[in-house]
Amino acid sequence: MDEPADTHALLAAYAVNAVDAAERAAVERHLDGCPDCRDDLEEYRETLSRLAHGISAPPPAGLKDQLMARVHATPQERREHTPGETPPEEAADTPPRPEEPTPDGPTETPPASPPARRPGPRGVPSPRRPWETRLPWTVAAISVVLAAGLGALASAEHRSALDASRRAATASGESATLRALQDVLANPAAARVSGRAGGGGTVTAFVTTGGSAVLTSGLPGLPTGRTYQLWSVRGVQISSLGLGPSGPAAADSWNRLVGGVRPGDVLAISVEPAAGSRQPTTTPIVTLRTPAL
Amino acid sequence: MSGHGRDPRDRGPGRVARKDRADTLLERAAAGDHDAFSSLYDLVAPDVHGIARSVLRDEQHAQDVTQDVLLEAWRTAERFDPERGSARAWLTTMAHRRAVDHVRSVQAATDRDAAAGARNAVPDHDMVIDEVETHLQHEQVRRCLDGLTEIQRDAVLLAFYRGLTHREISALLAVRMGTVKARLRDALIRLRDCLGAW
Repeated sequence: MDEPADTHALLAAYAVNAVDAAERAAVERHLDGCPDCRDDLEEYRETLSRLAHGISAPPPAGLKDQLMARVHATPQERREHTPGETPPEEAADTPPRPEEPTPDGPTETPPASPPARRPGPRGVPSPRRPWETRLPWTVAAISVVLAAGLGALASAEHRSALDASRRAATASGESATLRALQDVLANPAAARVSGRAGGGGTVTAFVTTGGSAVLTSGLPGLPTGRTYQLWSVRGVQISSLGLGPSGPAAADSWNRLVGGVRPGDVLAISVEPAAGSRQPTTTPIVTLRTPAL
Repeated sequence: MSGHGRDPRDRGPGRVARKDRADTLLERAAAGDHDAFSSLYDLVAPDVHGIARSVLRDEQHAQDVTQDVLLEAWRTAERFDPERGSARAWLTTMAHRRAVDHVRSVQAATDRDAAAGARNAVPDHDMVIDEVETHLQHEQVRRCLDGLTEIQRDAVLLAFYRGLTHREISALLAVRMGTVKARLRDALIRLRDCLGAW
């Protein structure tokens, strides 16, 4: 058993996350039986949010576009009971630990951490269903957001690329790809890496074990007969991940779902003849080392 | 000690319920409102990003954490209960914890590699404090921090802005661990009184 006085003394340190895992667990057990401590903790957190304001720093503009694309592809957790009948136990748990969804590791299954205390249905997200039924809407939304966010909306090439992606969304074969792309974008455990391309523009990759998404913005268009090609580099082995768009329409924003990328691999994009190459024949316009997990 | 009831309404006078715009927006986002979430982003992303950058000291990681935290906020927005704290506190708590956990998992991996696991990653204390202070934008925060004793102030700067544990802080400041815990508590209470009214 914990020594309560000792645990109680840790509350402020807990609020600033200055505790180790064992101490964190001890404080959280203590909080369950100590309403006064929960009040104190709330106050500490309000104060800390003001300290946070002291180091406020706007993220770069592109971040919002990427986030909103993921938001549009991410279903929200819903509780299964009606709001009026929140069991007190659950209500006590809910707000004081916003960090519950982010335990010490990757967060693919967020409600997993506290199941012992919460046997009932507690807003366990149903990852597939609501999303699939909303799919056509989501596909449109994500196409628009990716397009609007990651590149300029002006050019004719761009509009046609967007139209193409909308048309693709209605074709059943393609929608599986788009759904897989959304899966990757919506996966909170996706490793993310981005970099600037040599000729201008940026390339971002989201890498998951189930597939990876490559998003580009602001890349230059290509001469007719040339295409972007994606590669993975692992040690000395370079494998093609498929072709990007070709010709002048390759400008601005596009995205590709690619398989076979492992964390730690380098992703590269080069300009190749329209039919693609077996190995890169030009210097890559961008190389991204995916984080080793 | 324990054995109190667990009714969440069983609490003291608590904080004054002053509803901030962020609270309203987060509640609307919880109902699935994308526009509200977009406005919420504009309002709170700088604070989230600021914390992440301060703790992680790496712009790319900071952006990743910012994005992950806000996506998580969208996903679990329904858990937010305005009765138990502000949206800003909810979000900055998540951001700080995520950033600290990230640093520690990276550090743990590094320590495993570096066999001995010596805390050679802990930097010189004056340097850290100086560096944090140059990033402190907000006049009132700065003033309130200046109103603390030196140990209180350093403990807060190192814990909150740098993500160090109380053990690391105790080693760095050469004070007992019990002292660090107590100073952190005193500091947060004094800061509450100083910052509370804004």
